[in-house]
Amino acid sequence: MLKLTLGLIASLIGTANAQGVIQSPNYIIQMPNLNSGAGIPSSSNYNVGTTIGQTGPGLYSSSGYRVKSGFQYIYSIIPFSFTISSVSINFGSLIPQTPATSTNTLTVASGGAGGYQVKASENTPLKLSSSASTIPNTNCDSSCTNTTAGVWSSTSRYGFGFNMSGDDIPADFVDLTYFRPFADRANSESPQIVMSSIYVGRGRQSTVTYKVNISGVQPAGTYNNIITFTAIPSY
Amino acid sequence: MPFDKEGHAELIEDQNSINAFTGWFFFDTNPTSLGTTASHDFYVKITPPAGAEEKDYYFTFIAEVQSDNGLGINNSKAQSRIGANLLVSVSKGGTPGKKASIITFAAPKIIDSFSGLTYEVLIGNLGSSFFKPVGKITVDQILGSTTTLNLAPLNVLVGGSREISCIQEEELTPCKMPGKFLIGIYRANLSFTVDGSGESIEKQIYTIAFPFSIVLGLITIFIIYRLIRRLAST
Repeated sequence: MLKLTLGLIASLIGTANAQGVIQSPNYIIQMPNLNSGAGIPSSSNYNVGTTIGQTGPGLYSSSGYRVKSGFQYIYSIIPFSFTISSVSINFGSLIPQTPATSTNTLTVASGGAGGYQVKASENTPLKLSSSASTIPNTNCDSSCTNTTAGVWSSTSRYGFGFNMSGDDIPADFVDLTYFRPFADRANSESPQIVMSSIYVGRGRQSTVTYKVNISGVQPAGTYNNIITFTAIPSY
Repeated sequence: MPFDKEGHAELIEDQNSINAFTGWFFFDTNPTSLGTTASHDFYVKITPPAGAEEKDYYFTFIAEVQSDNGLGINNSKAQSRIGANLLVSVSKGGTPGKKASIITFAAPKIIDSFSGLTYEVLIGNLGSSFFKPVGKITVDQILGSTTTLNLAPLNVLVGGSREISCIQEEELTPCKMPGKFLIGIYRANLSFTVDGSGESIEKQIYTIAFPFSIVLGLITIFIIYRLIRRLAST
């Protein structure tokens, strides 16, 4: 399992009653990142709302004041994190007209106001390293696109696609029989949303089921590609 | 970079767009190895050029795991990337113009007493810099009590609009009247200021709550009773 937690080191979002200012003769940049909390004001009944670099996110309090460090106001103690349970999705030996599936889990924790999105795309369709031969992206039983899932249950329909289940997934994944192809960056297709929420959440989890089915005339060899998942919080 | 009413960003990763801003940012691009539970600090220096247009600029700092795929078996490799949003407001005077509008403040005009009452708030940004609406919805039940729903201070970006939910004890919630039974006339007043200062922006709407389901139930019971009596008398 590989986990990334990126502190919002250079966050410049948010307003503050006590703002720092960076300025030059020509420009003033409002609300810069303050990586240290030097000179925290304190007096009775005084609330400080300052977006300080999330090196030390948390709620700091003493009598008369509270400093909410990080994204302003709302659940600022939850860092934004994104985890993929398994980065290698193995299909084993592919047998014609016998779909192979594999799964991994995506987990997101989002504490900033406004939630998050996770988008997915592939660098190419599943491709032989030694030639240009590919396993095409699925078109499901009748039709599906990288934005709209379709039923894919027939063993005579070939290709590569994925299903989503769990938290915060798109509504077109009605059940486990609904699949989409990945957006293909080699074909200039834009990454598409696979998880999305407008709310704060911890441990928001979804399962990705990858499916591949080949025909009897698929050239022999080892097929690979890279699926990129990008998690971004809302502004 | 287009964005929706929920503050989600659309990444624009074409090389021309990236090249246009490479002079603004300075940070270490060398790959770094991280062991289990290890962390790494990235320090990003931002220097807008002297001729930069005065407006808001939106960026996302992306950290990605380097992946290749040469395992020699049929497989896909999952590559993870995580982003941190950067919003840079550039102005010469330090006070970029901020202007808000109420695009939508709505609720059903007539509801059943048991159906609940939820307010929809959509605020637009007509200015040149982002802002947070600071305000509340005050709901007066005519000849009854007053309820206050505090607006969540979500970012409203330039040229866009944002669906504003409410906030209760630092948790985002729908702007919904508490209680399972509502009856009477409810007057809701939305009022907020831009970033907590300046002129208040307001709008008022009304909703009538009536126990239609109870009345319908009583009528149904009465009809059934009358039918039973008629059948019994014949």
